[in-house]
Amino acid sequence: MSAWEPASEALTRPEEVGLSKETSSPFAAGRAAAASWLERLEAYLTSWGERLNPILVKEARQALKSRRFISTFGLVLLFACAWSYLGVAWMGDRIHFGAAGSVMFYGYYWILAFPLLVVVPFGAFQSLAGERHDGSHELLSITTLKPHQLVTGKLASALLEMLVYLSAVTPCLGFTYLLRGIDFPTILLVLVYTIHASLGLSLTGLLLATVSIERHWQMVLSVLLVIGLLAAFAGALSLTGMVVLEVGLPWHEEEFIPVNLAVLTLFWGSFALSFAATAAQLTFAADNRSTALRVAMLANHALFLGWMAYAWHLSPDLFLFIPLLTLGYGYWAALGMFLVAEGPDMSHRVRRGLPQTLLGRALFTWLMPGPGTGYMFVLANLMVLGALSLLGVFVTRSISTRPTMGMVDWQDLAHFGCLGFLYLAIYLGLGLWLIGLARRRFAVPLPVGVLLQAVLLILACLVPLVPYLLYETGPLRYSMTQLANPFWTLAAVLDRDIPTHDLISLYIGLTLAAALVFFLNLPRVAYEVMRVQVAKPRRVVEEEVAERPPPALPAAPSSPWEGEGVARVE
Amino acid sequence: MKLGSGPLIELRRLHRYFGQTQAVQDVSFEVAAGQVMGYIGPNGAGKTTSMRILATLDVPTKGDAFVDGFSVVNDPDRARARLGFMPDYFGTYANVNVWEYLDFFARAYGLRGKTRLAALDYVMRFTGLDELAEKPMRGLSKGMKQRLCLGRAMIHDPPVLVLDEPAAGLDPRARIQLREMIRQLAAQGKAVLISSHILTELAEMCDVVAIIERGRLLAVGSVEEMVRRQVRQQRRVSVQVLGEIAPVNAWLSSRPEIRQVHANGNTATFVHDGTVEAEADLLAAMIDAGFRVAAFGSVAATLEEVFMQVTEGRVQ
Ligand SMILES: Nc1ncnc2c1ncn2[C@@H]1O[C@H](COP(=O)(O)OP(=O)(O)OP(=O)(O)O)[C@@H](O)[C@H]1O
Ligand SMILES: [Mg+2]
Repeated sequence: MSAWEPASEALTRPEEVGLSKETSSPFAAGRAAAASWLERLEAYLTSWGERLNPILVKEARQALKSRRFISTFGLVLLFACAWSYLGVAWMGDRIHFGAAGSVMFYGYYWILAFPLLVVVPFGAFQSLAGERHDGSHELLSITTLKPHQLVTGKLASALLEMLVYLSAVTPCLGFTYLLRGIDFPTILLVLVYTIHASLGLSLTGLLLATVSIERHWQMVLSVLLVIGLLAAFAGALSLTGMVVLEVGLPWHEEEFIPVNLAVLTLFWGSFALSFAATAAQLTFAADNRSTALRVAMLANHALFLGWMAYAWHLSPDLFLFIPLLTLGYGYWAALGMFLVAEGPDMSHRVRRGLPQTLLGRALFTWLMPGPGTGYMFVLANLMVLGALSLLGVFVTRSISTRPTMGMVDWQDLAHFGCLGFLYLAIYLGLGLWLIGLARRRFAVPLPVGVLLQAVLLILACLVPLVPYLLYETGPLRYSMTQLANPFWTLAAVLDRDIPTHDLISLYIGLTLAAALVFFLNLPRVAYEVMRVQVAKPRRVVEEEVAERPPPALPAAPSSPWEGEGVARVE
Repeated sequence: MKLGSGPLIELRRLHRYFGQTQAVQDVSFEVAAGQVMGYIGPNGAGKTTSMRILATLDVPTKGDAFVDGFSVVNDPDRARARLGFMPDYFGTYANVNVWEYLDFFARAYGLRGKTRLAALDYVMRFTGLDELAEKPMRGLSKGMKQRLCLGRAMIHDPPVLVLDEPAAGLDPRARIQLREMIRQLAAQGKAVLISSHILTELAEMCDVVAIIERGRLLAVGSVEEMVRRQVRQQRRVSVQVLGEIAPVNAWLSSRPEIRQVHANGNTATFVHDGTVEAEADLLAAMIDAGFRVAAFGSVAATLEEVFMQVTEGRVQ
């Protein structure tokens, strides 16, 4: 945009464009040489500052004046000093002989972990929730800032705040390293994990802040968040205490590095997913809010399968397939509930970006918004997960001579995988179909759709259970009356609690039901798949042509106040 | 940014329902570059709702709105770059001063370096905020906040401004200043859509007005045209007599073509449907009836009267 090109230097603020106050002072003359690189440095810093995320700039300015930040920072300093004196005094002579470093470190960790794991994430929640409530977020949302820039800015300012607190205790941590009892890699690893946790919790806070703009809901959410944060704080303290004071880190184990890598990559995978979800929540309704999320889901799935494959490679054991299947199915069940509750309409804007070629449509239609494509997307992923697991189970059975860790049999696992898939297909399909029916009469927003499915599932489990509990006098055993209850049925399959003939009827019943539900949903899916790309409006094409870099010509003055004095209203 | 050839603001068959409430129903109008459109209607008429849709804060149930030819539904990003919106509320940030606030929004609109500083400088001077640069936002008075809000809306030099009740709560001097600012903005070629309940103010700064009630657009046109149409339908006349007013009052009230007779001092005002000729005949009849008429003339209709006549005053 050239409208604001300054008419003359007089219009710009000297201290903001790299002409530092120092260089314009009379003393500057004697330091010309020094000034030249200083100037360059400052110009460089200024240009860098221009590229910074606006939210980060604003929040940094705010934080420097905010009471919360100043008091937290002061308290961190105060407690760190107090612990330095008290700790040293308390240990007395032992400081020369015992493992004083780890005790001192643990004390400082308390002081550092509270701001990092509680104060910063809660501050992130509050700042976004407050801005959404009082309307200032609305004003920001209509600027040209993108939702992901907004989330990045908030996270960057949280990170900045973390680093400030961290730097306040860094000298103390250095001091603990000089004492005996703790080594540098341990300090580093604990800090790296704590910063990761703090970032993850801050993102969780931001995601929660996007859930509602109503004050009372925000209150409820903030209470839940505080409870969660305090739990995380307590967890971090006990884990760190165990590592630092008791067991130490198993550096020499062969799997130490892979396990840490797995934890960190899975962390970043779910971080990306939550990030996409937060940005989607802040995205304009007619925009594409699904594709990025689905890609993140896919990436997480791949990551999970990859690490599971690695674990299997280390020790090919049938027992591994239980976490693989339960976590994988649980993951897709939870996400699937959201996907099939997505809004049914597709705006023209999204349609402009639909894939057009046959191959593109076959591959990418499932990433485009819509409950029907979402259902197919989840089914496809479940099939991949189920098929890989089955393959894994068969291979394990054929190569492994060792007895399994658990008492699972390969057949139980195969049944678990197949029946679990059928249950998911049935319940998600039923949810999709019911929400579609409800939408003919009412508007069903996404959270209501998710709630509807949860209620459906709970009812399906409870309704057969109540008469069973009332009239059954013997010991509580699985019965086929409970077949609508996926949890109990699947647990019974693993426990070999279902006789073979019942198992056969279970397969027949569930397969028929899944097929029925699938065909019920076919029209919806077909409708979504048949959507084709629409042309861009003429005005957009015009604009895109205009945006292409023109041949270099001197820019003509384009703003009405360019070059003239500004008329000021008195 | 190159502007298109069409109107800068266009509402095309816009509808917005909130459950059973039909906040906006089938509203269409256009505002061209350099035009100021006043958007008036009783409370709950649907002004804020349609303005929020135009500002890409809400989506229409049916229909569409366009900013410089870009749909607010399908190309909100392009619409946003061209539009400044001043809502009827004021979102503040704690611990931020006036300059920092504007600087933040300038950055959020993608202004960088000298361009941003020039924009800030211009806007601060235009709105008269330059003396308040260091003042914390939370300590601003209503009028200062309104200026800051206008400054924020115009920081990226948008060709379209949508102002929701910008004059609410301003003192008379500030209102006059606001009027001048809006005139200047229009003179720079911006299209301005402005809602207000202060109709005398609006009449002075608007080229066109749109009247909306219960979500429906009742009338669109230039202020003069509306007033003229109003005058053609019914005329308000004021007559001053020497002596007792009561008999005049009674005489006027007895005539079938005359309504709304009010007496005050020795002046009576009334409304009649009819032409100038009918008015002349009426004057002759009064003199014939023996009244000593000192002054007789029609009173110019105002936007307020147009408003009162066009709207019914019902709320939904
Ligand atoms: N978010 C909402 N949910 C439900 N109803 C709404 C919502 N926003 C507006 N309405 C309803 O829409 C109608 C139009 O409201 P709107 O705020 O647009 O009126 P307005 O013309 O701006 O009135 P005012 O002059 O009082 O500002 C009102 O009946 C209002 O109750
Ligand atoms: Mg309003």
